[in-house]
Amino acid sequence: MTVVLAEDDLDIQLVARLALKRAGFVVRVVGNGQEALDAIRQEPPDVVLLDWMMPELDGPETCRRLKADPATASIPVIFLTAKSQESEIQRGLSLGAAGYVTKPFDALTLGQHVKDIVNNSGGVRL
Amino acid sequence: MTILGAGAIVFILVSLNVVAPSMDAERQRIGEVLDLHGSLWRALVELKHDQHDQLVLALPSIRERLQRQRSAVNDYLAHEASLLQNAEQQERLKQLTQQYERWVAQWESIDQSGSPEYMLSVSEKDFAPIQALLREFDRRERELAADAFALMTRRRQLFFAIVAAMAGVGALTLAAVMLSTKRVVLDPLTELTDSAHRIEMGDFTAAHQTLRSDEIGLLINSFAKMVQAVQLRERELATALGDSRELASMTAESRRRVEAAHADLLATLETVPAALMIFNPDGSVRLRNRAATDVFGIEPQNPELRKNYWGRFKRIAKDGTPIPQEEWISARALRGETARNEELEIHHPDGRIFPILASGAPLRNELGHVAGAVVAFQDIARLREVDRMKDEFVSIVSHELRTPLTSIRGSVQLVLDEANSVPDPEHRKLLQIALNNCERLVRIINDILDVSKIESGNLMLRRKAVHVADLVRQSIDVVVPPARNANVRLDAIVPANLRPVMVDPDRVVQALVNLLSNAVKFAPPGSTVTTTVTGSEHMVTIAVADQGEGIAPENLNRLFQKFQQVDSSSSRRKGGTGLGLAITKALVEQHGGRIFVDSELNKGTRFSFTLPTATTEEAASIAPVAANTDGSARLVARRVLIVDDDDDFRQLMKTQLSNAGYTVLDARDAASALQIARSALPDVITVDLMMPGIDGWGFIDTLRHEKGLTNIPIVVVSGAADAKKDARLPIDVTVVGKGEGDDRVLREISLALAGRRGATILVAEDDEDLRGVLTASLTRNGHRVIPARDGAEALAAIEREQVDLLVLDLVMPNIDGFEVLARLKEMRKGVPIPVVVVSGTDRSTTELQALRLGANVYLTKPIEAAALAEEVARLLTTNT
Repeated sequence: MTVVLAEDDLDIQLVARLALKRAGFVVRVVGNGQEALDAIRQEPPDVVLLDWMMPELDGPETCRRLKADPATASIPVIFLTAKSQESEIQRGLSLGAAGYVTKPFDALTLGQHVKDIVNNSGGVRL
Repeated sequence: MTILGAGAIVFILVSLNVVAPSMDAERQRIGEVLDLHGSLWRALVELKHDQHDQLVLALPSIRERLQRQRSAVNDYLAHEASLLQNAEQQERLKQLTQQYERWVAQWESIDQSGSPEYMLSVSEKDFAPIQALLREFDRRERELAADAFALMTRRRQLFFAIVAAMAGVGALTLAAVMLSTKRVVLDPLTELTDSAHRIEMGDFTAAHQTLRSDEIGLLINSFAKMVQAVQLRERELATALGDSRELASMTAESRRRVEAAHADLLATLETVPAALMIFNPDGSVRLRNRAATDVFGIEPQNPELRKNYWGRFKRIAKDGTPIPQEEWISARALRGETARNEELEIHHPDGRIFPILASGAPLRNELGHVAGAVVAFQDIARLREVDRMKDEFVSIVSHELRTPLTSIRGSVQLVLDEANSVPDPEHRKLLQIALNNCERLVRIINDILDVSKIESGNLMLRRKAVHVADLVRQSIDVVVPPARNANVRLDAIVPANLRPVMVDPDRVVQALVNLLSNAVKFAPPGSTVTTTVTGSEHMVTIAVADQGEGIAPENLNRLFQKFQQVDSSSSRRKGGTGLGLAITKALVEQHGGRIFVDSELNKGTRFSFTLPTATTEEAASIAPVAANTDGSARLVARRVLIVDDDDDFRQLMKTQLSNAGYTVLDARDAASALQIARSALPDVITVDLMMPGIDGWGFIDTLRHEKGLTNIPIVVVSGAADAKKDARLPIDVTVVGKGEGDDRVLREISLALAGRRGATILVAEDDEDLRGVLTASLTRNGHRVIPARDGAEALAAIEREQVDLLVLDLVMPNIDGFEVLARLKEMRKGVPIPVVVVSGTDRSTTELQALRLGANVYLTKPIEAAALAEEVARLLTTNT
């Protein structure tokens, strides 16, 4: 399974990449929403993980653009969020996200959770 | 003629000299006496007030005033005594003085620590007779004064008659002799006569002083002086007529006091930051302070304009809906309702918005009718702002904390999970500590966020109809791993046919998990944390009970406060945040439920909370819950550990028990069984006796002596023929022969699981042999047995100690079983003791009667030990 991970924090980038790799994902890592859009258009992945807050183009806007583009609309999007606001989560789901992973996530089960969300693709809460 | 005229004048002067001075003195005396009464009355009332004040404020100034007042009263009384002439009145004054002195003495000797209400009542009670005496005294004095006055009036009339006659004679004489002096003497005399007549008609204005210095001038002046005295007396009489005038002066005094208090109150109100308004019943404002005026201004007097005026200030409820005028707090208060700290917004016509916290209450008159309303409110704009800033701060901080935590936790997790990445056990341990504390930090952040959300009212519930069993199952699943680590068993029973609840499932699971993990944390190893559910039409109660050390009563009320842990050292030890229970309580209350805690030191703690059930319409959308055959759903599979060296037998048992719904663990020798028992904490262990290495006896002995394992029920499944009579086995170990069939083993396991061990059972049976058999059989099942030879002994035992269950023979000497049942029903109305009736009598005739009297089970002799054990176990579990 291929995944594009958009996350501006370099440490989290590394941890998430290793965690997903262990679960058998092929991971491409980018640092903001714009880079994510470029990477996804270049080669559509099976799933996209978006951090909520990122410089230049943030998670929600990136998701909106992905869902607005017929070429990328069907790719499941999962938000990484700090769960500080439930309104964030609601907004993410209303933008068409398949689910969300709350930070700090469990590195040992992150891959499985992502797979579960992709399989259910119906807004499963973790 | 001149001589005659002069003689007349001399006569008049003589008359005046005789009459006027004595009348003056008497008048003065009476006036003074009656004046004194008024002063005395006021002084007494003041004194009483001062005494009351002294109750409330033990100030030296009040004490001084009290003393001053007392000496004033004493002076008045002494002065009065010196003025009195009537013996009867003197006696009365003496009585009054004595009564007064008793009253003062009693006040001084009264226990000052008594309640003010009590002391006031004492003071009031003894004050009344003094007032009555004074009133009577005053009445009598007035009667005497009236008599004296009547006498004076008679003298006055006589005097006027003489004056008139003399004036007549004098006029004739003077007219004849000195016509020239007519103007000088006659005119004033005519005037005087005229005045005398008018005065008799009650017109005192006729009297006037003249400046003449001759005899006639003297006469006129004397007359005027007399009239003045009469006038004064008349006025005094009018003033003193009855108590009404006294009361009028009293009322004036009270009014002065009230007005002073009112002025103090108004000045105080102006300085209070809260706005305060008092409304008349018609809705107009009777009183307002500055803070209220700042918001509302001053409304017009005209009722029509006033209505419009108020209508321009919109009230908006917390949920954003406008509040109609008849639902305003002032309107509700005028209807007799009380409002307390309601949050709303006032939208001023000029566009300003005042968020306020308002309270209102009706003002009632002495008849209890609403005579107005008071409304107080407080601008909470700043409070709200500070609150918002706090929430924002909490939100940002927690967000900022989560990012670094994500990398720390993830990194450590990945390193630890990699095989052989950390070969040194010391290092692994250190990394594990880092990880554990990361988890703890995450929990704290989540809890703080939850508290912040709850406090700001931002916790939105997404309610739906759900089965309680599903909620309990989800919650149990979360605490299974920590419970296993802590060597604590979990049990949960949800009855069938419960109405679904209308709740936010995530939030209820959060609340229940909080309670469960608390219970697991504080439960001693080897104990059980039990979740039970009971329900009615409108609510469901979920209870979580542990067998931990319990909470001291004085700490129970602090339990639900934030950052409160009964023992702060245990907080660190148990890794709690001190917020869990506060959050749980808030979550439950947000659902409209309530939370309770019962605890007994060294016995355990039981938290329970209620949830509202869903209505039939709300519940229509969900599928009915699955229930097992006994009507209730056991949510935690029981774990059975099979210890047997025979592989085939073990395999067979494993299949059977799995089919029966148990989670099965097995071991082929005692050593590994012990390992499994310690780590997995089975609910029941079956043991073979003959095993290589440590045998069954040794294994059982170890179990019984290892903390945390002592209470696990043991079923011996042995091939040895004489195992049942084995004296080396503990008395509460059940023994089944391998040849007795699989059903038998299954039944013993379920009995061992169900039977509460260590119950106190009273066996009332007159047949000694049967009593012995029953006792032995119940003792073997781990219960304590109290034998009783007849009904009288049985009743005595029940009086004496806590009995969990009664096994009762019906036919006994002295008091038989029926009577025991009847008495029991009377004695234990609230908490019935389960009763198993054992009887040799034919069922059909007596069973119904016994059951009607409160027996739960009826067994016919001969009693089968297994059947008895089964019923006992069933009754003990259903009654726990």
